[in-house]
Amino acid sequence: MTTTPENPATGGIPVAPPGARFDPMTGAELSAGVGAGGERRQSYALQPGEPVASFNLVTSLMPLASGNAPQTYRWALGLGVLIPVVAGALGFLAFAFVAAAVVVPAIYVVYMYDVNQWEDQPIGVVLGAIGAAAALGVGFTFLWHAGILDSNISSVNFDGNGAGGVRWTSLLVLVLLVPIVGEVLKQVGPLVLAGRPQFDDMIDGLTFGVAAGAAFAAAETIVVNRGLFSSFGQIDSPDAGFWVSLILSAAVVKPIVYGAATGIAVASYSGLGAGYDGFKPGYFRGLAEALIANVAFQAGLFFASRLEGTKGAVVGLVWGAIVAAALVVRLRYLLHFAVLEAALEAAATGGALKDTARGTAYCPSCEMPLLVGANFCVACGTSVRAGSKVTRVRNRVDDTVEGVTPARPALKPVPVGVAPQDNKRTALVVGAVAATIVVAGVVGQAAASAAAADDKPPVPIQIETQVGSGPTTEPAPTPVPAPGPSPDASEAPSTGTAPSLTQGFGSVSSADLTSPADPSDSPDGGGLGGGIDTGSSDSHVVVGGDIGFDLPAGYEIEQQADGFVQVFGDGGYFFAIINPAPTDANAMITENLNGIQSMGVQDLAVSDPQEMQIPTSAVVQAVALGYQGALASQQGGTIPVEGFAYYFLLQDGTGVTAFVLYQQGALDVDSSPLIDGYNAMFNSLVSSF
Amino acid sequence: MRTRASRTGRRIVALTAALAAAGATTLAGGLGTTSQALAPAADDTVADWTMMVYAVGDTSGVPQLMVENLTEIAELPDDPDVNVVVLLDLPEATDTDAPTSPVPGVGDFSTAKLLVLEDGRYNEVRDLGEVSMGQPDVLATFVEEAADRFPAVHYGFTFFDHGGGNTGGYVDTGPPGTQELSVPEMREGLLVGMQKAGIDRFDVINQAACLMSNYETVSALAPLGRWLAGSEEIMIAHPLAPASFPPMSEGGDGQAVANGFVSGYVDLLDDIATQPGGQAYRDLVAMSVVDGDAVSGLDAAMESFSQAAVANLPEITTSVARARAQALEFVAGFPGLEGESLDLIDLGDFMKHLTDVPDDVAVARDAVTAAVDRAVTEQAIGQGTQQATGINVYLPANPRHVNASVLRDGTEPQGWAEFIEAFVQSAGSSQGQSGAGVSFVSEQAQVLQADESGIKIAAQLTDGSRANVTSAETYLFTGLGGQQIALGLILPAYLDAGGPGQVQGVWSYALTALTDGTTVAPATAVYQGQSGGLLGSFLAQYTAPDGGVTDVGIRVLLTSSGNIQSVSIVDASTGSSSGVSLEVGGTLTPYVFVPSSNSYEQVLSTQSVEVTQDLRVGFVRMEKNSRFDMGLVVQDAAGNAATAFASGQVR
Repeated sequence: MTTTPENPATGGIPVAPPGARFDPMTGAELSAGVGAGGERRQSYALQPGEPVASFNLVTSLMPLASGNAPQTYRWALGLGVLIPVVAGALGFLAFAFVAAAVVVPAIYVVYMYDVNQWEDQPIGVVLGAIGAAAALGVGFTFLWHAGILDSNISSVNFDGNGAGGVRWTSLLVLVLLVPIVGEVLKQVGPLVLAGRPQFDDMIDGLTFGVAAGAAFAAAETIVVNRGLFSSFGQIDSPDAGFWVSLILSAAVVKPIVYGAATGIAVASYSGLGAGYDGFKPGYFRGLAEALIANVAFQAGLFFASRLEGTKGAVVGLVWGAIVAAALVVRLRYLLHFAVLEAALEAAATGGALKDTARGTAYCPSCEMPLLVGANFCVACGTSVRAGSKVTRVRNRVDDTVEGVTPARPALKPVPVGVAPQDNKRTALVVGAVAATIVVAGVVGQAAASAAAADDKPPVPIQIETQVGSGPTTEPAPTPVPAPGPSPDASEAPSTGTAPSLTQGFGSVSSADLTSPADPSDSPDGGGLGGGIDTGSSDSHVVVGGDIGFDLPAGYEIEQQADGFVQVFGDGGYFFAIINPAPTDANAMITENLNGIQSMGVQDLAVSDPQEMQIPTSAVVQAVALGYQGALASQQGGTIPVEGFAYYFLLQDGTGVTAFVLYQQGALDVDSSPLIDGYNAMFNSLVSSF
Repeated sequence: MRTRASRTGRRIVALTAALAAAGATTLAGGLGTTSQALAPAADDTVADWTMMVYAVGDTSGVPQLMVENLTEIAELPDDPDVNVVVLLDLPEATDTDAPTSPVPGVGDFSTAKLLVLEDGRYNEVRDLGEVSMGQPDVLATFVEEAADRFPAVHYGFTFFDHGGGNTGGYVDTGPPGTQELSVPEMREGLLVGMQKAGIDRFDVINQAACLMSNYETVSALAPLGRWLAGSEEIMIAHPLAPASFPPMSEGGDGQAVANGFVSGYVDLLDDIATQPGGQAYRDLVAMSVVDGDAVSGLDAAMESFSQAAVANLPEITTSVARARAQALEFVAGFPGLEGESLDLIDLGDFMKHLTDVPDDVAVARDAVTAAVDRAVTEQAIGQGTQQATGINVYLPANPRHVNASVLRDGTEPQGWAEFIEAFVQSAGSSQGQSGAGVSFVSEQAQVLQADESGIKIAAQLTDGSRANVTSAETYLFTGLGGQQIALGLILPAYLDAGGPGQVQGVWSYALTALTDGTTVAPATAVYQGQSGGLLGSFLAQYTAPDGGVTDVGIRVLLTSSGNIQSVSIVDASTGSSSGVSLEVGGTLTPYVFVPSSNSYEQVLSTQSVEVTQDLRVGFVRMEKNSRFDMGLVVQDAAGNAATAFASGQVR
């Protein structure tokens, strides 16, 4: 047994032995000949082998593991991320997103167990740090995603040519509400825990903050991607670049941003030294930093989503990585200087820190003996606070007291500056993390399979035939009679006109549908009546020229330009676009599908275009098709959507494209108001041709 | 702008073609000079216009008129900015159809020559030898070579010969063998030539031929030509109007040239109309200009109509058949010769007659009507073609006689073929089925009136028959043409006249006949009621002074008062139609149709009429007390017929 050296002449304050590189009390680099902390930037206090300004996730976010098992968590993180990425690239999206969501929380739970973060109170810590954040994350995400945004199927405004304008509601929700309120909710549990004596250390606060942030991110990811628990949970030919970008964001970037930001705030709450600082200026500074980081992160994602498809996803991913890197570096500086300043403060006041070495103590990193009263290893400079809870408890127990036998570290010393390897536990930790992720992914994919409906393309509504609303055919001229006596006057029976074969859809009255679109001729603003309960139509919307449609009550114009109108209501979009002459159905279809894809609809599956009955003689050709896909973004999640489009080629060669987009299944519900709304708009649009 | 003409005619009109031929028989042999040495090299100067004329002259009935027409064009003022390039093939000098006048500047020849018009004469660019201009590769080569040698800013193309509507035309009967251009071959030849020549699109495509303002044709050629000019009806005399050339010199565009093509031809007919009997031709004109850019819309409308119609068959079978029967038909067939009918009806007029249909069909019908109106930008019609709307279309009247080859020829408009196939299948499904068609209560018709003004008979349809009737006609049988009993006349009958389900027929005791003032040779004539009069036709055999024999169709326009207002003569010897000229000294022998088992036998009348200045077509009253059988015939869509007859004597 090695006896911890001490220098009685200093009254219990350890003095660095000759040749020591670091001051045992303040951690200052003696070899550099400068004061404690002042220039120690190339030697991170919790892992002196790394500079402070580095982007090492494990030693930053899991500082208690940095001393003896950093490689273990690197492996766990690497494998944990690889699993959902591979699944996503193969098209198992439900598996991928659920697995991605749990990567960091799973690693963190194992980490907390590994380092006994919960100090034998696993239930309370897990509930406080993870459970509360997850629960609040689920609730709040539902609130803004399904509630405030009103199932608005995209956070992006469509202009027919791609994602263009800004939806202010979405901007306010996603860029302000979500990051600010979310940050507050994430901190609820960690702040409660950090206020307890056994968890009032800054590193405890950091750990709880990161865990809560990661759990909140996981909850948010699963909730916003809940649409994947449907037939869209698995796709055959995924756009790997797009989906992998989203999965990486969900698996790594978002948990780190959320976790690091919350970690900074909660660590600031804990403060330096013993006890917690509470709601002091330091906390509010940390909170401000967290909020700024979150807002910047969300704002970047919001605007990146304006970029088309994979480009937008990759830009969002890169932006998130930048924010995450900045937070990690900031966190490292925070921890680094907090550890150094606490030690310096203790040295200045003659006090001792909670984890100051007592009796037989060993460096958690290099396992060199620690001087009694040391806060740092004189050999490698590692803080005594960088060890696991077991190590720290052992080191602070004064085993010189009769009857106490200090435990010997299991690991052999390693060279200064070289991270120790914990090969014995790596397989166990990595296996546990991987198993957790796989199980979560399987559960997600199974849920998707169970919820999947028959994969059927959307069936377009039927547009009523509107006799007489367009050009009409003159009656045939009367032929001259043959020479000779005049035949008697015709007494033909009633024309016997065959009954209309138009098949009722809903209760649209064809008679009403022939009403002029001009609202001045239709005081209630609509030519629709009969059984359709469209409510009172508020206005006639002009798409361009004489072409327009009646806007049902409850629907709003979101964008309107010459030749383009975008309407939203009852959870679905309606678009009307005028395609200038000359055009044809193929050109309109191509342009429309490109536009839909540029809106962010991924993996678009399109039914074969079908020639439809022309609804009015102003039209020479009517074609319809249905499509399915998913709107996906880092913020909005993945929402399976479907819709149908009608392409009308008018007599003068002008085209009119009218198409809709709604969440899958929205029309499956009997008496869906969306059906009535679409009926009203489609048929009034046709009547204006 | 649309031109309409409405002029009264005389009871008997002269066969203007005979007059024209007699007056124009100028033998000018030896005036032409073969000029191989004059072939110009490709000119670096790009002209404003190059008009290519594909003159298939090695065929029947056309060469002389074609040479005359080209001679007229040669007389136009020379314009260095307008190239007129002609590929002309003529028959052997020994051929009965060989022209009697030479081509200015070139003289007589019997091969195919590439000519260019310069200084009032045609210069030979190249002699192609004996090639068949009925081959698409010859057409393609012509386009390529003409554009290569005579480049221009604007290109126009004129087909010149017989036309047959949807079956194409441009029949080269000379060596190496008879061939004609189908519509797909016309398109192929033009397209290949254009691609090789680097021509994106012709500014104008004229069809100086009969019946070629045809939907199937314009649908196939619209992508190749911005403006399409042609005739729904037959064309006579000199169909390539010189008036279509001045717009090219005046900086006009394709539309102006196309309009000039139409107006020039109408002017020609107006000139002829000032001659005795010349009004006949003017009354049957049906020329039009189609906007090539609007044809895609028409195609789409037709496809939509076809889709709606097919979806509603067999419900609308009778309505379609009825509209088909009532629509203006061009070069109608004869009883027993249905298979030889071109079955070309006016598209817009068919749509006007298509009533009693479900809403979706009605809407689609209205869309086609509007699309036709949009596509046809210029139209010239006459008294007898008032119902023409600018484009004819193939729609067989009888499901037993369908030209299936043109329905799937590769350029058929989408949908229309499916519609025809579905229609004839639906109509034919009830052929011969008892109770499926029509029937009268009695086979004996009731005479309602018989006096000096004529006779009126009636018959009552059985319950349920009324809805199946697609056509009602009055048949008149009597002794004529040396036959004891023959079909003398088919006139319209009147459905529901005097009561629901009652069919009436009227007749004024007159028959259609050829006469030279002394001899009257009645013929079997078929009349169709139109707003401008009763369009009728009959067949005759023409024997030229040199002994050459050919069949001709004579089309007449009959007024309600019994006046023959207009007459035109078409070549009935080939599948396509064209105007023919009758020479003084020849003879015309009408055909009469004699009833045989379930059909009619076409036999020559024992009476012939010499072609003289006094040759006329008349609606001649039969002699008093002549006996006749007058019948009412109704048909259903399948062609099942019911008859009711009455006998009588001329009062």
